Parts: sequence; structure tokens; C-alpha cells
Amino acid sequence: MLDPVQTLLASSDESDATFLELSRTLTRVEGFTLLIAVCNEPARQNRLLDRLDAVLESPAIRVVVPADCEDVLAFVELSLTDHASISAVMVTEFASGIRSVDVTHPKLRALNHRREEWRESVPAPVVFWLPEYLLQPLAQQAPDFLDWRSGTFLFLDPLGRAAESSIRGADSTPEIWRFLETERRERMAQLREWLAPTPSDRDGKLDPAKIRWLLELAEHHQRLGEYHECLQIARNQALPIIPTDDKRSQAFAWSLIADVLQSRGELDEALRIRREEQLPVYERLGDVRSRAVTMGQIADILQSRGELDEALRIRREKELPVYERLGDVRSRAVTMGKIADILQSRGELDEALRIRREEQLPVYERLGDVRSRAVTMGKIA
Amino acid sequence: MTIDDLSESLMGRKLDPITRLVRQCDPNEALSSTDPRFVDFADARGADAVKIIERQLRRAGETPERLLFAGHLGIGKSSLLKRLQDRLETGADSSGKFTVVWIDTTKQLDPNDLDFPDLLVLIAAEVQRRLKVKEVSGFTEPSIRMKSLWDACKELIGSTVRLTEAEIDVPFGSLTLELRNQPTARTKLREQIEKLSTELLSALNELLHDSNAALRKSGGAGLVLIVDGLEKMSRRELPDGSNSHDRLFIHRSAQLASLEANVVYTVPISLYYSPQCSVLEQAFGEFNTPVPMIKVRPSQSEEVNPNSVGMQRLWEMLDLRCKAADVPFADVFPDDSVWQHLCAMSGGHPRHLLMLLRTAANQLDALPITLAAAEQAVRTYANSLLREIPDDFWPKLRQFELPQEEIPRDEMHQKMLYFLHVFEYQNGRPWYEVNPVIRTLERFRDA
Repeated sequence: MLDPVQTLLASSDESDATFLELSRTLTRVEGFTLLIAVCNEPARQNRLLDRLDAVLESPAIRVVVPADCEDVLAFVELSLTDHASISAVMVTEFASGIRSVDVTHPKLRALNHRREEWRESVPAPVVFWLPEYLLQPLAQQAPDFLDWRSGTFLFLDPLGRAAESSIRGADSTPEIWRFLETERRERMAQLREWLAPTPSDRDGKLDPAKIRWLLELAEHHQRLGEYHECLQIARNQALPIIPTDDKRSQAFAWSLIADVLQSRGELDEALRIRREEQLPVYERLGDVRSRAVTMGQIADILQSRGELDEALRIRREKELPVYERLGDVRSRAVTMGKIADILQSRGELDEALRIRREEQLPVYERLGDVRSRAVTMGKIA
Repeated sequence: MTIDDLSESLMGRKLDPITRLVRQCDPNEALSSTDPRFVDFADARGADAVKIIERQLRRAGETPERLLFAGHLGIGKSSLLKRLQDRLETGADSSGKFTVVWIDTTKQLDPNDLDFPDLLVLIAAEVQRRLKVKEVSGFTEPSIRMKSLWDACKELIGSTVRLTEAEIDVPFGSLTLELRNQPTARTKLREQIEKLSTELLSALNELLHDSNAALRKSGGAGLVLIVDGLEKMSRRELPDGSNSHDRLFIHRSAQLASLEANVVYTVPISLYYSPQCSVLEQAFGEFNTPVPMIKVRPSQSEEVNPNSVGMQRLWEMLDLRCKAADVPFADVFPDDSVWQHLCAMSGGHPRHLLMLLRTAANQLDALPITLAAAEQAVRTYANSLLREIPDDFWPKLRQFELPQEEIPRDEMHQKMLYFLHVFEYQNGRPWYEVNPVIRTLERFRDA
């Protein structure tokens, strides 16, 4: 199994291949050709658009669709009037105002019904840039239009998978903590925009995507050390709307709350949450990895309370074997480091040193993880 | 235009072979039956819809046939109907040439919100306009009855809308425009039209009857209306608990089936699998089955086989595209397994085959298309489908891993057919199986 870093590297290779494929398509096709590019992250989307401009004979025309625009074709036609030659048209912000649970949306329906006219009105390839969640409403409400696509280009790795992966397990997602701060702020702004109430919210239907976005937003706040906001979102906004049968999302919301409490020193409540709200869910779901991560978090609390023997037992018996079985070398190395911390505080320095030198360092070197390597070197010193 | 013309025009622009091929594989270009790249898939579908309909119309004599025509998205319904129009207008046998009035509802009405009054007004206006354009003797001017009905209609409408009469030269023509362009006034307009609908239908039928007679008298076979685009109508739930499809096709089926001329209506494929289907059958009689997919299996019980008629027709399609691009087939597919993989994964859907071929080609800087590129093209489409298919569809889709003779007549299964998650094939009897690309997904296998 690939570890997170390898997965991340493999993913960006794949995205480069996708970029190449899109570039080739745009330079090879002639006349109207519908292409769908899926990208969740605006900064990345803009970078891709800039890179594409460098590839095309002349820069593509970017059409930013206003939230209240229902007839996208009419808007695109207007945007093209001053252009003599068009290499490609990039339609962005199409998703604004459309929720994943909207059974019907005029913007999507208009695409379907004016499909034939696109070919006559736009003599160039048209790329619709969409967030991932919009693919399903588009497929359901504009099936004729979507069936005209000549290709779909998924730019979802590594950052774009964040929202989805953030509710998959109890551990923090590498994609989320690898955001640069500017990207994180931008992503948060986008999430807030998606979360903003729309007129159709009044129908009382819960948009499942909203839960995902709320939890992701809470996690970004946590990563930025904005604990109050994280707690407020996870506890007051997300938990009350998560359906009772969505145990995984509930457990993840609780884990964010516990993280904040733990960092504030409220260890008893954090421990209760880990044991009573998180652990039983992962056990019931048979999610061995999330269970191991939660056991590790319990061990963290016990370790800070000085209950070293129990913490050591959990790490050795409940956590480590799972990562070994899963082939997750990074998590294994991190856990070994925590075992070394316990041994060191118990005065077992030789074994602690051996672990850092033989079990941790080589892994971080192989992964090219400079930061973790430096931290380990510091501990050895 | 011949294959040589097509390839010369591309060669003239000094494009590399792979670009020429990509340009010849536009999935959205509807080919006429005279296009050198056109392939007749009739024998590979197990049913020649065009021939069947033509035969029905020609044998109908003076008793009008009202037919429904449906098929999967992107299967080439419009191309088939154009072929039908060609055959009817050229008069393939001694029964003579038909005069075809083609009515494109998507361009002239609002498919988001379309009801019977809108369609009635459009058909009335278009028939008058086309008879005038075609200079059918006695019908170049509106009938007195239509004119007086139009005057009555304008009076009823009153100040509801201001009609742009100057732009339209036939009665009811401008009303069609207003129905499309003024959604806010639509309900009121419909109410007024409904008050006259019986009389309008009667006047229209009189016109159809008389023009049919005139056309036959002058040696023609009569009139055929092809009402295209109705299959793209939005299916919306209505406040009364019904939906927009039922409102037009089921509740007004008697009126739709009462036009005094041969009519072919395109309808959503889902209607064929609707619980209300029997109502349609009562109005239209036993109707033709939807245009099926091209069979990549020789039969329901056999494996996909490169020698099946369907695979051979798909090969022919690829070969003609290669010829048009002036690229030898062997340069594109030196390895037979590549074209066979793409054709099998298309499930017999020509548009999907071209989409997969284009995607595979755009993985590469130059020909040939490799198996790895073909597999990547399938993966890309599969990854997109993974995100498009609703959660509750997966367990049901799993039931179509192997060909099935029946499909439940409920809304979810109607959607599966409509969204091309399940394909319908025909071999004397229909069978249904999952889009082969979905089969490649782990989520499908785990469902």
C-alpha cells in the first residue's frame, strides 16, 4: 500500500498527465467541443488556467458566470462579441448558487435545452470548470448536455480530495495540513461561499455536501489554531444537522471538538469523547485504521497525564500492529517516535535512541520528509 | 463530399495524423446518411427503426399513423429521423413522396415548461408556415377559419401580452414566440388558449386533412409531421402530484393521437418504462420499441465477440473515420485488442466510442493508440461516472451486471436508462445490462 506521501506524489503526477491531456485536446480539436474540468480549489484552477494560456495559440477567454445568471449560453455569447478569434472558452464560477441537493435548477436545465445552440454560437472548445459535487446535479439535470462532452478532466489531487477524505477517518488528512496558508484561506472563503444560505434553503432540505464543507471548514480553523471558530462550527453548526445515521461524520465532528479541548488542557472531556463518541463508531464500522488513530489519541492524553505504562501498552498493542498490517510506514514511524518519547521519559535512553536512529530516521529520509527528519535529529541530539 | 475530400481538406492544413484523427472523431457531429463516414447500424441494433416507421407510414394509406419514437441519449435519434425524412421525401417506393413538416420544439418552445396548449399552437403555426413555404397549392394563405380563430384568440388574450405580429406571417406564429419568451405570462396565455383548444384542434385537423388531400391529389403520398425534441422536456414534479411528462404525454395523449395527419413524436425513453405506459398504448396503439444500442454481444447469452455484427459495424465506423483523417487503420490500431477494447467498453454507443477514442488519443503525442491509453480513457470516464451516479443507484445497478430480460417499471430504473447507466439491447426481445464502463468500478463490484 502506498503511504500518504507516495500517494500524494503519484497523484500530482496523474494531475500533470491530466493537464497534458487537456492541453492536447484544446490544441487538437476544432470548433465547439464540450469539455468538463473538475477542480475543487480556485487557486489551483487559476494556476491551471494560466498554464493553459501559455500552451494555447492565444489566451483562452475566461467567462465568469454570475451567481444569478440562468442562461449561461446567452452570457457566454455576450462575452464573446468583442473577440475576433477564440482559442478556447473557460467557463468558471458556474457552480455558484447551485446546491448538490437541488432537484432542479434553472441554470442546469437551460444548459440541457440550449445544447444544440452551443454548437452554432461558440466556434471553439468550451471548458466548464466545476467543483466535484456539481457532477451529480449536472448529470441528473442536464444529461443531454453532459452527454455531449468530449472529455472529463479530474484535477482533484492532492488538495481537492480534502473535503471528501476529511470525513473518512479519525486522523488528520495530509491533504488538509499541507495547504499553504494562502491556499487554506482561499479554500475557506470558497467553503463559506458554498455554505451561504440560498433562497432554495427555505425548502428545508439538508444538503449533505454542507456537512462535508462545514467539517472541512472547522478543520481548517483548527489547523490555523483558531480553536474557538473550530469548536463553534463543529459543535454548534455541524453536529446538530448531521443525520443520526451518519455516524462517521458525527465521529469526525467529535474528534475535532476533542482536538480543541485537548489543546486547551481539558483532558477529561477530551478523553471521554475519544472513548465514548469516537471509538465505538469506528469499532462498529470495522474501520481499523480510524480505530488505531483514535487509540493513539487516547494514548496521547494518557501520556500527558503521566499514565505512561497504559499509554505505552496502547501504542504497542493497539496502534502499531495496525499500521504494520496496513503497510503505513509513516504512521508507524510517528508511533515509534511516541514510544521513544515514553521510553525517554522513563529513562530508557538506549532503546529510545535506537528507535529514533533505526526506526524513524530512515523512513523520513526515504519519504523526503525534511521537517520530521529534523525534529527526530533534534530529539537524538 | 467524399472521404477523399474530407482527408484532403485536413491534409491541406498540415496537421499531424493524430490531430487529423481527433478532428474526425467529434462525438457530437450528427452525420447525414450521405456523409461518407455514415454507417448504417440497423442490422447491428436488431431493429431498423427507420424502415419500420417508414413502412408503417407508407402502408397507412389515408388513415393517419401517430407514432412515438424514443431511444437512449446520443444514440443518433435526430440522425435517424433525418434519414426517415430523406426516405419519405424522396419516395423510396411507388407510394410516392411525402411532404414532411419538421417541428423542432426545443428551438421554438421552452422545454423547461411545456404543455399541450403550447404544442398545439406551435404545430398549428408551423404547419401553416411550411405549407406556405413549400407553396402547396391552396395553402399559401391562411384559411378563413384559422384567421377568425386567431382573431378570437387575440381578443381573449387582450392585454396579457403584446403580440409581435409584424414578425410573424401566419396566425398563431407570434403566440408561439410569446409562450416561449414570456414565462410569467405563460399560465394566463395557456388558460386563454385552452378555452379555444377544441376549436383550434378541429381547425388544425381540418387544415391537415385538406392539405393531405391536396398533396395526394397532386401525386404525393401526403403529409408527415415530425415533432422532434419532446424527449428533452424537463421532468418536473407539479403541485398536483403529477409531473410535466405525464401532464403532456399521458393526460393529453388522446389529443396528441388525434391529429389528422401522420405524426412522429419523439418522447423520453423513460415513458416506455413508466407505469402509465398502458395509457399511451391505449391512445397510440402498440408502439415501436425504443431505438436500441448496437449489440456488441452476438446475443444475450453470448460473450462480447469481435466478429459479432455490432463489433464489425463499430470497426467499420472507426475505419471510415481513419480514412477521412487519411490515416491507415493499421497505423492507428496496430494491435486489434485496442479497438476491440474501446468498442466493447462503448457498449455499442457510437458517441461514447468516439469520446473514448478521443480521450485515448489525447493521452498520446503521436499514433498509434496504445492499450494503456485506451485503458486510461476508460478509467477517466469511469471516474467521472463514479461521481455522477447517486448512492442509491449502486445496489440496483449491480443487478444488471449480467444481461436481464426485464427492467422494473419504476422511476429509479427509468432514470438508469435515461442517464445511460443501463443500456437496452434488442434481439427479437429486449435485454438490459449495465454500461460496461461502470462494470470496471470497484464501487460497482462492491455494491
